[in-house]
Amino acid sequence: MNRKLRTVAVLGVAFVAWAAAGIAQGQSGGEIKIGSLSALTGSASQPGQSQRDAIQMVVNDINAKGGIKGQRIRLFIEDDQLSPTAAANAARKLVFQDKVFAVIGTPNSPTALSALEVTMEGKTPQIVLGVAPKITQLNNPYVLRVTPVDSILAEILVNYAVKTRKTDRLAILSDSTDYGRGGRDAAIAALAKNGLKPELSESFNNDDQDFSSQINKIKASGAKGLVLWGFYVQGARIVSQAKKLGLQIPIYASSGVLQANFLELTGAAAEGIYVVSYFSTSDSSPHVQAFVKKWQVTYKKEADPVAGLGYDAINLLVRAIEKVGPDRDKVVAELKATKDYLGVTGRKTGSPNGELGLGGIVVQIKGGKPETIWRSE
Amino acid sequence: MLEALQQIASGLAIGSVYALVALAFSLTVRALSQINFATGELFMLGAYLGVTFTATLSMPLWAAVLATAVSVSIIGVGFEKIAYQPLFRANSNHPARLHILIICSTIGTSIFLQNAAMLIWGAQALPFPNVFDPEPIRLGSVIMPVEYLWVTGVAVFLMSVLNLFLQRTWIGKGLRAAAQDRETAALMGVGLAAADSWTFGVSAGVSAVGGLLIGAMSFAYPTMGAAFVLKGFTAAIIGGLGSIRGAILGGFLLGLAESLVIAFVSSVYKDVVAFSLLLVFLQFRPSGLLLKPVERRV
Repeated sequence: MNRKLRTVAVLGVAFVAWAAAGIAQGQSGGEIKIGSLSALTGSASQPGQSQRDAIQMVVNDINAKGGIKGQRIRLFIEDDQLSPTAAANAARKLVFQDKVFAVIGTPNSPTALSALEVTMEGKTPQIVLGVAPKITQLNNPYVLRVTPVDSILAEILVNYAVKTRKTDRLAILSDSTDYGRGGRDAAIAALAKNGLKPELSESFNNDDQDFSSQINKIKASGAKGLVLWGFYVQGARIVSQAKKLGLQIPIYASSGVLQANFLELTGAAAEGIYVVSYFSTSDSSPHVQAFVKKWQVTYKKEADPVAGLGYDAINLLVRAIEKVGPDRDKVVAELKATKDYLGVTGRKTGSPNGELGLGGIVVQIKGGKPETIWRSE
Repeated sequence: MLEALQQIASGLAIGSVYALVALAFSLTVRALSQINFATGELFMLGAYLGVTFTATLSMPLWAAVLATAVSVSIIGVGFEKIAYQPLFRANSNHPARLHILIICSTIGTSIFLQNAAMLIWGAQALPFPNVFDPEPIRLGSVIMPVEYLWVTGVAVFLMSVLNLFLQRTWIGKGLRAAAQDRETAALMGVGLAAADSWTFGVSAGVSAVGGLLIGAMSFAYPTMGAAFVLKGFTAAIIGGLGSIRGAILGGFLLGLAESLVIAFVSSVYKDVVAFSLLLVFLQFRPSGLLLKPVERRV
């Protein structure tokens, strides 16, 4: 027994010494701390977990290759529970306690907006995945966004419906969060550019269970298509209920709808709906397929759009640090000067206000699977 | 006119679930003057157990309702034994302190249950199997999903059973006696500890059936209880917190009001109307529609 214990102790000490040596070697020039902030618990935690896993995957790869010019990346993962208050607290911890170089997150707009107040105070770059227009309108020099914004996606979606599908009478159904309202306003603006007005604009809360009243109103309005802007749980419910209530018109949905297990939740009801996005595993571009396969091998599941965004965000950040060194102002300037970077979530080109995401795709659910049917240039 | 019928059916279905949650609140308030803040999580547990019973164990809907009601009632009794009874015994002479402790302990339980559900079933929404007939009812141009009728039917049935239980059975009479006057009831031979356990158990079971019905209409997910707690509580206030008939009336009124606001005004104002009602009642008639305003004697 004693002997066994001694052996274990010796092995343990040896292991710790070896591991420490390994770390010390990788740390020759210190380490670069990066924070990942997203919802890891709660009803919309799936996207948040995808973001975390994507960043972790890239960080592991880079560290395995010896880090960024010999500096290892240390990842700090925080959970915002989808609550703006928790997001601000978590951001405070990342910025002032862990002193991270930059924060990536969140995929949800209200929590991103709340965290941004903290990162701005701490002059820490934050690469946001959320799509509310407000995010880059706060005069925050440290905000960057990899995701194509609502206004771009809504315009792509409305133009697709109006020009390609020749549907001019559209109703809008959006959730009552910043995300839904941003999408609704952008869709109305895009319709106005086409000289059109929505037939009807209705909203719902993310806690709602029954959407039949809204669906019946849309049915009665005579609209020929429905723009649906919301998240996957309610999106799944609305799509299923619309089918049940006999709403026959095509549904044009926001990217937030086609997340997590949306297709499992809706089953056959999702057949034929159009979703605007910037990422699909059905995209046949080689760099997208390489990412999709790597994700499949690493996590034994299919990559989702937020996984792609997280992947592009960390890769862009690492690329900038590699080029100009770990200097916050220089890295931000470098990211804002990005030109035609080919991400898995579309082309990234920087702009002074921090927007990086351009372009999008439209997928259609066919045979229970999304199929990329249209791509913006 | 037929369209209005459709709105009324959906309002009644959602309202009947509000009524169940309001009932769950009113039962503990009536008997113990305590608000159980874990009601929403017992509601959520009902939805998850419903998925487990119907999807994994392939039970029919009625059997799943029964099994869920019984299991969550047992959980409710356990909850009472762990999170209520010890606090009550230690602080029965300090009602004000007891109130605060019970608020803390029920909120704590709700956080525990929510996270436990996430660990057991995952954070993603879980779909129910098709427990309802997928073919809707057609009345001319009006299409009505059968689940509205099911949800309303099961809820109304449960309310009638509960009413019979409280009015006709020995246990129910004991519960009512204990709710009216604990000391006298105890003198007449009602076991107060047992009565409290029954109250929590029945309240938990009622809430859980509400959760199962909502889950069967849509999905089960860990945070689904929050919205129904607010609406159920509002319904209980409208009807008169602590009144059984008031809870039912409040639930149906709130459900109907919401769906009519959506139909004839706009969905944007649904919650505005619901919570304005809450404020109006709290301000002008805190005893609700059916309770007589209470005079507190010193």
